[in-house]
Amino acid sequence: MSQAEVDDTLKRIQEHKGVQGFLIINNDGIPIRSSLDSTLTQQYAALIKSLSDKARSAIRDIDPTNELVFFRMRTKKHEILVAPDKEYTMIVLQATDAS
Amino acid sequence: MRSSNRDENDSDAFRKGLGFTDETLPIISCKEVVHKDPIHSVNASVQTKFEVKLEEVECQSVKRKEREVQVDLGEKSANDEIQIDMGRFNKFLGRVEPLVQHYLDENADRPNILRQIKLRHFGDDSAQELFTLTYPEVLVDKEIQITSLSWSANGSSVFVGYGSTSHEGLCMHKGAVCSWNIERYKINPSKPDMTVETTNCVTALACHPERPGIVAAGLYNGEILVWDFREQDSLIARVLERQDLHRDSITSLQWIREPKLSKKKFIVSQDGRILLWNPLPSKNNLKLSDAYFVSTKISSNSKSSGKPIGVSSITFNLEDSETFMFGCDSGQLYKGSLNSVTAVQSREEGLAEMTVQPKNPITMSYQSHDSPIYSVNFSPFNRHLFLTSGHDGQVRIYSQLFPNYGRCFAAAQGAIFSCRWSPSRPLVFAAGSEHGGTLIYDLEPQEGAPTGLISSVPVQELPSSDKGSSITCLEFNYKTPNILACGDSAGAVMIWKLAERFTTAQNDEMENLQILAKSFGDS
Repeated sequence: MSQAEVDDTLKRIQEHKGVQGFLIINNDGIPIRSSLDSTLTQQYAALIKSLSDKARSAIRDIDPTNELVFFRMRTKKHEILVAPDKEYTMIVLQATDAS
Repeated sequence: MRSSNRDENDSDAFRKGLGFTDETLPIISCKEVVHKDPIHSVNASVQTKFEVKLEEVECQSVKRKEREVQVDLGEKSANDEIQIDMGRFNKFLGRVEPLVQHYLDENADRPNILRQIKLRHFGDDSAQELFTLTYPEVLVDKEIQITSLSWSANGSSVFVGYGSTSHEGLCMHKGAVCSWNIERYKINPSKPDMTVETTNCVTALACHPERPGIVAAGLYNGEILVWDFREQDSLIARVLERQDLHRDSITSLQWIREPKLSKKKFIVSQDGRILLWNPLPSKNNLKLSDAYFVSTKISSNSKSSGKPIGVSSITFNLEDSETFMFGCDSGQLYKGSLNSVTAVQSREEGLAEMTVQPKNPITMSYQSHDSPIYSVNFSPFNRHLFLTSGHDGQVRIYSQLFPNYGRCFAAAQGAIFSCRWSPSRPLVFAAGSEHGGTLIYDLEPQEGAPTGLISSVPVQELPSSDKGSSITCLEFNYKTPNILACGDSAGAVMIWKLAERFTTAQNDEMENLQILAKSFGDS
């Protein structure tokens, strides 16, 4: 049952307006689910993971009681939304010039 | 006292004059003393106290077992191998999804304000001339000019093909291909890094876009040569099947990616053939893998039907690698497809003997120019737009969806021999003209101008090397987009570094290009 729920949720995210792709990685940086092609997936997984870890530790250093919940990077071509969590991290790409 | 004596002596000698005389000194002999030491030699044998034991043991793994193993190639992607706990995954999604959705909605609803902010460029707009590359040895023949040029895969070398455009019959010229590495510290603009001579004029040149050192050239007599400049013996391939050879000069050469794997080559020729060659470096020859033939329409009463139309230029769509546009000597413009299967009806000799039967590639025709089309080029940012330029001096922008052109620019500088889109700014393109040098157009609406009004005059003009010759070919450097190479009829290649304004794209430039493309449908 939960498999169907998972697929449902992912489908909802994928079909949101402007979403170009998503990927979910575990704590080791290994992609679990992805809608992008494998080279891009690997690239995003490695790079965003390290960035997310850095951001997380930065927030923790500034205030140990605080923790990173969400961050997004707006680029010329799209916006990258990153939701880090205890076990997994979700990364979504959304186009910014969707009129 | 003594010193004074010496002084006198010295001055004496000085007054008399120093004389050099030969003297032979007596031979001093020294006795040879040889100690004859008796050589001591002792014979002794050494032997280990223990007995030397020798053992022989043979060791061999004997057991053999045969078992068949087969890899089960199921549709499992690597992801599924990782065990994930569905329950916890679900909980994670439950936590994260509202957050993600919230921001997705926010982005979708909120207009992108950054888009409206226009970059203002400071500083000079003028282009800086980096080098003027010439090869005086080949230019001894006054008719030789630059016929084609191509940047190497890594963007640091430019390859130039020399040939002549004035031929009365057979080509008697000697062509050449030269290359300069412009990123080298000390570059000598009149001495190329590497030169290869060819038997006749080079008419088309293309560097492999991924493998450095591989260059293909088309010659005036229809021959195709492929070199690998990293090998000792450079020439790695040429056409072997006589019947597949082009009958006329090669007008354009391009490397395209075949959907399966390696790149193939694509050639266009004046005798109406568009051929797809597969270079097989192991066998030193080019194998024809596909052929297309462009000919006039067959009609029963016209004697000249079925005759080949000379194709002068071809360009491939970057997103859809099966579609291409080609322009002809007659001014006609067609869209072709690699997938077409329509047979060619033509009585042209030599078609039947080709190893691969040619097909008719035309799928759509567009509004034609009134004069030969010299160059076509698809936009790297929009899959529908392409540029054409011709002898009538016009540069036109077409959208592949509509048969009529969308915009036309007539600079009145003579024929336009080449036109290229800029690889970094979607709205900029450059055209090489006969009298006016290189013209750079910017379709960006100027500040203060009413929206929708595009500047129809070139925003910049770069002169040719001797200020009078025509620019025969130009190429942007895709790795460093502000570098532009222009080859002219005086035989020199000028390398320009364009101002910042022409290389950094605005935030909404892609969008403006899409709007432009859509507007073609309304006119």
